Amino acid sequence: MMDVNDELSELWCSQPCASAATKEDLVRMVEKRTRQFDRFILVRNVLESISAFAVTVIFAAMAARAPDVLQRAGLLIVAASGLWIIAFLLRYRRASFPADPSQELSCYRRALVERYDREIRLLKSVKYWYLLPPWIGLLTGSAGVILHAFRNGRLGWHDFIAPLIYTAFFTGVWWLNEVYGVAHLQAERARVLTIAGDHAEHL
Amino acid sequence: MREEIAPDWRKMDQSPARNFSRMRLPDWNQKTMLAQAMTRESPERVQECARRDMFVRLMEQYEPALRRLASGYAEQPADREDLFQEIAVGLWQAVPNFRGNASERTWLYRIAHNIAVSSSTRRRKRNQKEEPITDDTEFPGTFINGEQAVLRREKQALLLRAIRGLPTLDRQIVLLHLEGLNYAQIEEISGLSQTAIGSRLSRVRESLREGILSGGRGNDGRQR
Repeated sequence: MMDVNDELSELWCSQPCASAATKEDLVRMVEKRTRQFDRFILVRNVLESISAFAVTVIFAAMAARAPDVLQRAGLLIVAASGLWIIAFLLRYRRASFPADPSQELSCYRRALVERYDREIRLLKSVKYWYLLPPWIGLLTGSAGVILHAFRNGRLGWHDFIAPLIYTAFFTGVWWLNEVYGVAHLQAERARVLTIAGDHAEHL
Repeated sequence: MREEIAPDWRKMDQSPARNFSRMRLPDWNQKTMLAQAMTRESPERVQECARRDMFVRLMEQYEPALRRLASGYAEQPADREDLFQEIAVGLWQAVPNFRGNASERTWLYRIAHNIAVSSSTRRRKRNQKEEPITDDTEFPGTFINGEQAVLRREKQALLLRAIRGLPTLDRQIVLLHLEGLNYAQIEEISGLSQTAIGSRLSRVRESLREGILSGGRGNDGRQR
């Protein structure tokens, strides 16, 4: 009688797994996917850098034409925050590496969990490094506008619309990152943890 | 007096430093240099060719095993193909970093299983939103002959279904075992002790065997 192990192995290994692709096709496929991924990263970084640079240039030009010191200071803070955000992001990405899949299965799970933790920390700190600098700049600029209007005796309710709009917008961005984004990442992290926990039990 | 000052070239030629520098030029290096000189290719191009050669060799040797592994993780044919491609890309990226610290086989299985786990974590979420398509045509092309072939296909389908139903860690161990890896190799890949592997395997094997013999009914008697 055939051994159970042999029977299962034989059954498993006799599955037809023929591939229609030749090895050359496979090489072309992996090269294409790798190139696509590299291009995606490059395009994303370039677009982000261009937008940050555009924000800096536009707000710096507006600051040059600002009628008073407070407005100029606010616009300059926004211009500088564009550069700060892109520098922060590029530095963060340079320091973070994907988990190496050639590690032991248990180490890889730990690396995956750590990576999720890092991403979660980044999203939770969005309010400090991403939202606060431009918001303070815009608020300072708005204070300058309001003060200017007050001095000229033309202060009206419409002067408070802009601060309300961008504060609402910034609140939305904060919610998307810190509430929605973090919840999504925590769900993925929990899925990896169930596997890692299963693993840790038997080490 | 003059003889004492003059260097002894014969001795210097046999100095350990020179011998050491000779020892540090292994055959492959000379061949690579020769290949570069002959083809006038840049070192990057030569490395790329070496990477391609190793990748093709790995695929020739392990493609069926990797496809079987993908079928153990992904139910839908499109997902299986996608997972297989992800594993291939992962291997392509890892090939230049292979240092030979572990055996090629265990290194390859580590990468494949790790990618399969992270990929199936993402896929599980996506599939929760989509209506699953049941894949009953598991084994197109298993043609032995007549009834025997049908029975065999049925058994294979049951085995596959039972494996997919296992918790991730059990599934990994049993997949490695079915591919013919021994306990030491599974330990090297998973990081689990051989005792833990042994006890898990005996339990899982028994449940798989029962699952197949009972025609896909689990211990609770329900059809899976």
